[in-house]
Amino acid sequence: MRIKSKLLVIYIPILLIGMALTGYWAYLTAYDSVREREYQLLTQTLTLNVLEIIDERRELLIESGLENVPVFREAYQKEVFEELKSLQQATDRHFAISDKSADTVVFSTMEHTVVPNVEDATIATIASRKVAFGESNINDADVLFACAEFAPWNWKVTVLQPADALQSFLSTIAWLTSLVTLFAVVIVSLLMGRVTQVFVVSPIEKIKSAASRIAVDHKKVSIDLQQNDELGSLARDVEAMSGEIEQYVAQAQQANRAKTDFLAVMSHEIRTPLNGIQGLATLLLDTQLSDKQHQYASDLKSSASILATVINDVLDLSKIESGMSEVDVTEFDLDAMLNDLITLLGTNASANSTRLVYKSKNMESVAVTSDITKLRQIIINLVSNQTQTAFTGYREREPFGNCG
Amino acid sequence: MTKVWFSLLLALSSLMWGASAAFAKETLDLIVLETLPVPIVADSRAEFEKELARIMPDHEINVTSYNAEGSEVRAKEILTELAQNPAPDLIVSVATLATRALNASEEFVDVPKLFMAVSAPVEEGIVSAIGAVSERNMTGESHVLDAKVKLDMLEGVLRASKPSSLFTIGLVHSTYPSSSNLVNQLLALNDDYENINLVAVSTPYIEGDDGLVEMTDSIINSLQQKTNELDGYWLSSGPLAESNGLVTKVKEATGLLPLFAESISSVKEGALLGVVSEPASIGKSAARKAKLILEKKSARDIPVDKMDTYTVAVNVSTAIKLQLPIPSNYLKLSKKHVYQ
Repeated sequence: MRIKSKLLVIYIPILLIGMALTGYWAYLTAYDSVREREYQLLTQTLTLNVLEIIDERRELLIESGLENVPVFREAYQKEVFEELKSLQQATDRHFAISDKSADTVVFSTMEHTVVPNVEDATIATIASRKVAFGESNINDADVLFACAEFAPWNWKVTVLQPADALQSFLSTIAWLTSLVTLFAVVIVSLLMGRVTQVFVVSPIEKIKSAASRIAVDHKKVSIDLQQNDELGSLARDVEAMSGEIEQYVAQAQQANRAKTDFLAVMSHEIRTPLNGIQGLATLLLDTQLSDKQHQYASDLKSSASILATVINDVLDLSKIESGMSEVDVTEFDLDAMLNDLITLLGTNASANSTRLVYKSKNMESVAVTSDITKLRQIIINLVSNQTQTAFTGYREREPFGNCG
Repeated sequence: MTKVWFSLLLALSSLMWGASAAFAKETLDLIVLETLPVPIVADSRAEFEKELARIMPDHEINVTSYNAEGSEVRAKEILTELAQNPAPDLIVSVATLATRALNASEEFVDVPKLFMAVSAPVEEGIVSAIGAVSERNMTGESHVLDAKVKLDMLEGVLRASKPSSLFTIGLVHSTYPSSSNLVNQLLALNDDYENINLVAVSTPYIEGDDGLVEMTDSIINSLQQKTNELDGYWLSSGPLAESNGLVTKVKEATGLLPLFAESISSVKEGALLGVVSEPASIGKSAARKAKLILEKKSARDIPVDKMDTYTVAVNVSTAIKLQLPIPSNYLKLSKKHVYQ
């Protein structure tokens, strides 16, 4: 998995958890605020509207000396009821007034009389009036209520509001919070992915690419990274390191070439007197020697021949290492070349009590394109290795496999 | 040296003369022609003079008042006599008959004219409509509230307590122009009000103090004949409404109480509800218009309007007796005019 994917796989759940917690906190805050606002509106409606409507009329009656005139008092109470009906239509809140002493409902904007449970209500003083407010379940429906007493007329005034609107509003807030949280997660993830790509992944990829080039070419590299942070510093270090590698490789190659040149020169210098030894040993063997002397001369020639082979091998290896080995590709008859080699190598094989036999099938007139000299040397080495040790029995070798 | 002193003395004298001339108040001559000496007329005129002196302190205002004693003929005679004198800066007429005579006068066409305490300037032919300007160099304000508004208010009171009851109300008035004009307006609107049935109860207008007594007796007789039909009565504007003790006399004679009145005094006496322009408001408003005219704005350019300030008065004793509680908004409007 790429580093960017790994980072996103780690970041997104963290973000989701963080955002979800933040969203939940925001929802709770909004929930409390909305409920508080609703209660505030409800209690203000009660104290600043309803009770003021009632109180205003009572004050007017007192000022006019009519407080104890039943016809005026009843008429003004009727006015209060009419105003509350209008208020109910304007605010969608319900109003109920009950007589405290008789415990009877004297007015209600609802069809059915309801009495909220005020036992768990919160008590507060608003606009110098003691108000109880809270939530109650009436007829399987949740309602918010606020109630207060109007002592001069022995009234208990209640304002009711269905909680549906509030709950609907809170559901909307919950949905919006979830939506915003998800949207924020997506946006932040995209932003973080982009930021990670620009500031972390892209520089790392550039450094990785440079390292690969160094591994292949052993050359100094330049990394296009202008950051002044840890990755920028790493890029500069990689650049410096690549320079040193290039320098060390050049030095090593130079030392290797010097070694090869030395070996080549030394091999050449050794081979010249060795040829002399071999020639003189051959000449010595042609002279009249005792058996013991002949044996010594023969051993001398063999040793010189082995040494010459070792030197040739070293020379070939050094040529290969120094890049001086050349391939001379020509077209030749493989069957004829192998028959010649069997003839050449058969003598040595006979000396080791080994009979060298060459059999071919459909190899007549097959032309092969290769370096005939090197191929011949390879075959000689292989066959010589096989025939150097005493062998009894029959060994069949197909050096070229089933080439047809 | 003597010449120098003489020159200095001359220069100083010239300077003092110039300064005294500059500080001297300009004199303005006003003529006020009242229709009759009833409280609303006299009080409005007094408030007019007081307010004009207050808002034009740089002028010496000479006001000469005349009273037509409730007679249009007398008003015309006064104007004919005045035409012999130098033209005043402004002529102010108070109440309908004096205004009618002044508007008809050809001698004072070029003199700016102002009226007050006239209920129906359109019906009097002063202007074609409220908000229009007069072609006879006259302007002013109607001091009465629109008839429809008054009926709406009365209906509000009646409907609040007895929404389904029909109230038959006698429109008590004389043939005095403003009074009969108002009654005609009310009768024209009657069909729009389901629970109000208006019945005209009239007496001929008779000039003078004796005429007022005669009119009072006549209207009491008319009401006695219709007592059984009526739930109450409406006391229209005009001289009859200014009659002392009318409400009490009617109550004693018929047991009827006024449901609506056009004067505060009638409400004090027992009218359930009244919406009126107080003399103080009439006088002050007229004084502001007079100032504009005296500052050389032509009366021909000032439209004839209705007043924008009215006083609501209620009598709660009547309300209790009739079991007609006055709605709280009217009681609130009444403020200092709630009478027991």
